[in-house]
Amino acid sequence: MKNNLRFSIDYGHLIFLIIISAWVIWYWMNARSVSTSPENLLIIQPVSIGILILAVCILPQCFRSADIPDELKPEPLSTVEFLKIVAVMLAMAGLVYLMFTIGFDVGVLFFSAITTIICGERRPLFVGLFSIVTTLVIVKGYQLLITFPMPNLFL
Amino acid sequence: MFDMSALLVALNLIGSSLDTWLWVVPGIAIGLFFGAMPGISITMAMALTLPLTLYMDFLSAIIFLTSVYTGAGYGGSVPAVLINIPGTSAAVATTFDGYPMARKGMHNEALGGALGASVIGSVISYTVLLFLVVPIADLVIKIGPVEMFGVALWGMLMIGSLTGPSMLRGFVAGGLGVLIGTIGMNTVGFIRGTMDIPDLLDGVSPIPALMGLLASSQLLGLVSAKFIIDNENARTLSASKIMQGFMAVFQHKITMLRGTIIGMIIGAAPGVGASVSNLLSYSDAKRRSKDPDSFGKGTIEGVIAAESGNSSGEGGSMATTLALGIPGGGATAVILAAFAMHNIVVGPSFIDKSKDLVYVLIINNIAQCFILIPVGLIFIFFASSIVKVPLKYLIPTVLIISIFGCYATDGNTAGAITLCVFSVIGWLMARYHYPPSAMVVGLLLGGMFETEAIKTMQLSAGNMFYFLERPGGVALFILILASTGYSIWKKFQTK
Repeated sequence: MKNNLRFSIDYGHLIFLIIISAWVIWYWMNARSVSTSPENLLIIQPVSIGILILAVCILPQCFRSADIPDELKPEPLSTVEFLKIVAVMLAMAGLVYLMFTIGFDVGVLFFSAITTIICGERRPLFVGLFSIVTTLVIVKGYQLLITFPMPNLFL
Repeated sequence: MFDMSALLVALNLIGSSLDTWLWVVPGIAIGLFFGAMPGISITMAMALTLPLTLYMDFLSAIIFLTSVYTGAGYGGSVPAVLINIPGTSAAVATTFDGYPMARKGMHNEALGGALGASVIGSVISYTVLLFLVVPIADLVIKIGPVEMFGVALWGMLMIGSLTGPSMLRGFVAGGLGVLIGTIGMNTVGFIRGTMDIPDLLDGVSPIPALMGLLASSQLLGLVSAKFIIDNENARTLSASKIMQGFMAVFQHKITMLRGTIIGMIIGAAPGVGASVSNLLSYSDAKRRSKDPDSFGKGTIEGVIAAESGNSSGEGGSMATTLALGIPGGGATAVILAAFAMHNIVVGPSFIDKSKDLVYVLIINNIAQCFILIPVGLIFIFFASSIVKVPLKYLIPTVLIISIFGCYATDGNTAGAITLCVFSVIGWLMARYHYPPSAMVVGLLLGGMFETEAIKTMQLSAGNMFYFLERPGGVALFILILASTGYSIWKKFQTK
């Protein structure tokens, strides 16, 4: 009887699991390098060992037979959707960078414009108006609410 | 104990100083607004309004601040339900069922249920406080590391109920949360995992982390969607559905009462906070429910359990504050500051000599809970219109407000960077079915779990049976074992 099972490798999950395991090992070793006393490792050591054991148990789930339905498979994600998500993540990083290097108002202005476009708004007038109004309301509003300094370039 | 004559004096005082009542509605409205703003905690809201009370008389000042406290307690649940961002850490468990309800178009019922549970939970806890303020304080003073370790352990067991479709992945998520919660300097002085970053010495800031894990990660997954609720007909604001949700509290009376008791006890313990009580109440309700699989998918019972747990903590923490002069959390620390500003020292002698004043505060707080109903309903009505806003405008706005809110926690880049990092982690975890909620529980409780475990170990000096000398601790561990054993037995029964 021929075996017709085909296997697919979920590379995304595999890489994610490897990253988790690598971080846990690093943290465990970092904690051990500080001290091996029970007061330091009481929780960290057993939890780290537990996670690594569980990761080994989860590893086979990254290699799935294509014929077996798998409720744990990630939802299908098109390249466009994936790129949009990555773009918003990068935009968030850009917002934080601009806020603390140039000014909160500039950061918010660019982030709101870019993210609105990524999320589907194509009318330049709406993008411009939304970004300006958002910047004014949020930056000015938070300046009234919080006591920490919020350096701005224009406002 | 209960003093009838002091109560009559208190009622007379309340009736004769009607101008103090003028501060209740503005206080509740301010609290609702601040509570609903992600990143702006109840403590911050009260600290911001504290200077306003300088020019008020003592009673008006305390009533205003406690009104802000009451409003903020419920306010945090509004964004938790509508956009999966807990406005305060006390509303984390509200997101577990509140947001799924909103996605199904049941946002009106969820918000109404949260309001009902908040009001009734607070009323019950303050009523109990009226009669038992001194005995509660006596009990609180006996709580030690063994009992606190028991509370943390009870909370950690909740991870088991949040594992989702894969128990293995759920425990990995929870374990990661615990490890992240131990980053920084522990109670003995060991510094772990900081990578020489000074901001990590105090550990990973929990509010930005949980906002990233629960909210931003969800929003990232919605960049291609048009609205939070797909069905256009469900994007309505309905006063009748809100009231339906409110009345649902009476259909889940036992869940509500259990959540209230848990909230009161946990709220009374100094330093624990409503963030723990709402999680414990939720996990307890899920364990005992006839249909535990419905939790996490949008059941109003989950919302009621979470909100009753967090709102009843107010009464508990007020007991500790008034009777012992020990703040139950940040918010009650601000109330103590207000007392000090008016040259009033709280504690056992305050209770003895000014019982009428204590009763005035408690009765006013009970009244505030009822006044929260109309003010809260108006607030919900306007806040619910968020479901009609297209996501292409909502996502950038919410992400910006979240980042600003994270900046507001510490006033430096650490909060904002933490949010960004955990947004990515949260999205990856959700994608590969590692429940972010399990990581949130581990993160919130990991530090406390380690601290209390170390203290217990040090106090026991290696004696394994030390905990037997602590009857409160023994009772707690028996309860935990019984509760866990019962839910395992029930699971085997249904299989």
